[in-house]
Amino acid sequence: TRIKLRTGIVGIERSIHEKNKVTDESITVAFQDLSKLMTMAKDMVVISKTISDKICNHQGEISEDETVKFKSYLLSLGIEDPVTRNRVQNENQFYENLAKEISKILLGTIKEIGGMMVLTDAYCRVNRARGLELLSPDDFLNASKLMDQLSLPLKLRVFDSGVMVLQLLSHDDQILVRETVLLLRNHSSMSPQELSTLVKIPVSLAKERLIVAEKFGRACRDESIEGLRFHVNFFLENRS
Amino acid sequence: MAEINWPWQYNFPPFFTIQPNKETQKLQLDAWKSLVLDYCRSTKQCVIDVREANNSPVFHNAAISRKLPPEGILLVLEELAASGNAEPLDKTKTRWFIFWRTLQEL
Repeated sequence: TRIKLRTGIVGIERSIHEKNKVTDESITVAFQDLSKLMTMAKDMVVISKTISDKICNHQGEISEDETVKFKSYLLSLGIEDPVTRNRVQNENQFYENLAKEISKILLGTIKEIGGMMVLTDAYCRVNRARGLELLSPDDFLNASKLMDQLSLPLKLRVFDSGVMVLQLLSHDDQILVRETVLLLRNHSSMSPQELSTLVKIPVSLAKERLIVAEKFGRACRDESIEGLRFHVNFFLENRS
Repeated sequence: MAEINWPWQYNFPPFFTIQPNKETQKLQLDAWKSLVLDYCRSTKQCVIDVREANNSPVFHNAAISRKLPPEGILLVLEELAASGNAEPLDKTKTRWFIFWRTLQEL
């Protein structure tokens, strides 16, 4: 440590100056390291691109195991190159394991709440439970897409509106539509909000449920300034 | 003016929203067609103007405060034209002749 030659205001000023200098240096060093790291990553990207080209050109020469390993490298670098990767092997082992884990975590809760959960809710729950090593939305989606092939008890479903949900494999639209129509009959007409409070599901799911009933021809809609409401499809039922 | 026998659909709010389900929509448009024909026959009316149609009670049920939107009216008129019960008077399709009986029936 430096011996202070002077005391008083000049001394204080000097020591502040010294301190600033030191922090400045450590900042520049940190950023230098970062840029070095980035140039290395760039090299890795270039190398992995050439390797993936090679894999595409000589498909037979590389064993299955090697491509799996290579793909896990790609993942660890954060490079998304699905087109070429998909040609080598349909999906990654990481996703398969993830899909199994997700379905194990959520199976109980999804059964409890009526067999369907919006994907964003599922994402929240899994990450909340994990605490560390969080999942990216992309990982979660890719894993969910695999559930069908792995014959897990859950599967991904995309509604026409683009809303994605995880639902039980045993889920049956027919039964749900029948229940929805029964509720509609008891209440003469319902908005998605009303259905959502009645059966305790999210509004987005309630809306999808009504739209599915409409698609089956069991409900019909009334759109006005009062909002969107659904009625039992009397056009079909009162047909003479 | 003759009293009109409103069909049950007239008091059913979804009647005034064009239904996205094709099968339902067909039943709905069929009901609309016969309603418009009945209405025109009993009020002795043979021209419908799309811009003014919402003033007439047939497309606007004040009791349940629902009206058929102009696109819906046009759809109904197109359907009527397909069965030979209507014909546009101009190219912009704002004014329509309504035929109580089709030419074949005569």
